[in-house]
Amino acid sequence: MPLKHHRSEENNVNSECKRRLPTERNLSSTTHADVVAATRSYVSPTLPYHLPVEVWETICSYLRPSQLARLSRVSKALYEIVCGIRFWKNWYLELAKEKEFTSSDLNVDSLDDYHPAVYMLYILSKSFILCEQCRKSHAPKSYHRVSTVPLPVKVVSSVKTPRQRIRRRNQLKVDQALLNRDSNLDDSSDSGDSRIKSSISGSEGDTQVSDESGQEAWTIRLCLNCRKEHYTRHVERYPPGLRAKVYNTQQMEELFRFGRRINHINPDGVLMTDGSSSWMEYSAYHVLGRARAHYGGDIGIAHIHNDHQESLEKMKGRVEHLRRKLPLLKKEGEALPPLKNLWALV
Amino acid sequence: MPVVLTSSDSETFTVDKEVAERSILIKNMIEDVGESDSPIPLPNVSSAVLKKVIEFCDHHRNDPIQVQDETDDPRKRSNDIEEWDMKFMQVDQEMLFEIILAANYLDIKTLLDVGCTTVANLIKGKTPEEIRKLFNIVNDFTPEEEAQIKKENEWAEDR
Repeated sequence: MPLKHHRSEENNVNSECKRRLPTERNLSSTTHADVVAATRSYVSPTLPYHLPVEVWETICSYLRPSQLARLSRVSKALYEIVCGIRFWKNWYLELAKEKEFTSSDLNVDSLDDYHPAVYMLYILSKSFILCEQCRKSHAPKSYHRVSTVPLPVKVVSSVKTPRQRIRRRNQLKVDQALLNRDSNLDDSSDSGDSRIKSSISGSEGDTQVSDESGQEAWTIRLCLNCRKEHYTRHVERYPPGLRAKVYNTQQMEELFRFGRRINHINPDGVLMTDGSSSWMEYSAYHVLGRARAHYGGDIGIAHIHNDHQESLEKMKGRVEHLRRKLPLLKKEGEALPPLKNLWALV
Repeated sequence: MPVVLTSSDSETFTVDKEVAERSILIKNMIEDVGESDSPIPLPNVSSAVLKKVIEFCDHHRNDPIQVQDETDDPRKRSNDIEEWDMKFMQVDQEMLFEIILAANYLDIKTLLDVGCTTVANLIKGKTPEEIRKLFNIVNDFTPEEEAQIKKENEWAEDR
C-alpha cells in the first residue's frame, strides 16, 4: 500500500479518541490504554462492519455514563472497549482529589494494582450518588427535604428539526398564556386535579416513553443543581387539566404532596377571611412553577418523601460485591488478569 | 489546481485542492509528493462512499480546520448536529459505517465526529438488547454472566 498515515507522537498521548490505523498500533508504549489494547482478544469480528476500536472509543466519547454502562453489556467486545476507555480512571481521579472516592473504600491501597476495568466497576457501584452532568457525588442530605441526589431526568433527542423547534416554542407560548389567564375564570372540577397528580407522580423513571413529537425519550441522572439548570432550558409543560384556579393549603397538600412545605418555596398567596377564620389561597400555576424551581422539576417533587434508604443499601451491597470480585482482577506483576475474569461469576 | 482521486473500484473523481485537503491523509500526501497530475489512489474507499465524502468536504470547504483539543470532553458538549450534516447522515446503516471508516482512514475529523455522533445518537436510550438488534451484534455472554453483569454494570437504578 503506497499510503502511510502519519500522526505526531503528542497526538497519541492519553487520548481517549485516538484514531490510528490498526496496522500501526504502537505496542511498545506502556500507557494503560495500550496495555488494554494489546490484550484485546475479543475485539473485532463481532463488531458491526469491523469498525476499529479507535472509532468505537470516539463513539463512546459522545455517550453519557449511563449509556456507556448499557453499551458494556451488549457483548464481550464492547465490554472490553467500554471498560478500557480512559474516561473512568480520569473520573475516579477527580473524585479522589475531592476526597469523595477512595480506594480504601474497597480495602485496597491502589486501584492501579488491578485490571483498569476496576475504575469503571467502582464508579458504577457508586453510581447512585453520581450526577451524569457535573460529575460530582451527591449523597442524600436533609435540606428542607429537597432531594439533592441525582434523579432520572427525561431527555429527548437533541437532534431536532427546525419544525419541531417551532412547535416547542409555540407550546411554551401556550403554557405562558395559560399561566397569565385570570385565575378566577375557572370553575372547580376534580377530574382535572387527579390527572395532574398522576402526571406528576408518574414522572418517575419510565425510560422508554415518547413525547408528542414521536421521539424516543430516555433518562439521565442529574443532581439538584443540574436539574434546575436543565429545566431552565427545557421548561416542563404544565400537566393537562391543570386549572389556573386558587387552592388553599389543604388542597395543595392533596394536589402536589408538598402540603405544609409550601412555605419553603415562598409562594405569593392571598390571605382570605370569612369573618371567623382566615386562610391562604394560592394559584396552582404559580405554586407548581415555584415548586419545580425549588425541588428541581416534577421528578424532584415526586421524591420529597424519599429518604433513599433502599438505594443506599443497594449501593453498599454493590461495593461489597466488587470487593469480593477484586482478587479476580488483580494484576500479576504487570500482566493483566485474563479477560474472562471480568465477567466471571462471583 | 484540481486533484484527481481514484476509488477502490477505479472510478476517478476530480476535485478542488481545498476540498481534497479536508482529508489530512491526502493533504500530507500532496505535501510529501508535491504537485502532480497523477491520480491519488484510495484503495480503501469505494466510489459510492467517496462520492459522499467529497459531497461532505465540498459543503464544508470553507470551514476553519478544527484543532483537536485532547482535553475537551465531548460528553460535556451537546450532541447537536447541524441540520445539513444530519440530513447528510440519513443513509442506511451500512453506508453510515462505510463513511465513518473512510473518514477514519482519510483522517477527516469533522466527518468522523459527525459520523460518531450519529451512531452515539442511535445508541442513546436503547437497552443492551435493543443495541444488539440495531447493529446485529451477537450476545456472547452466557445467561448467568449476563445476569451478573446486569447487576455489576448498570447505572444506578437504571430502568
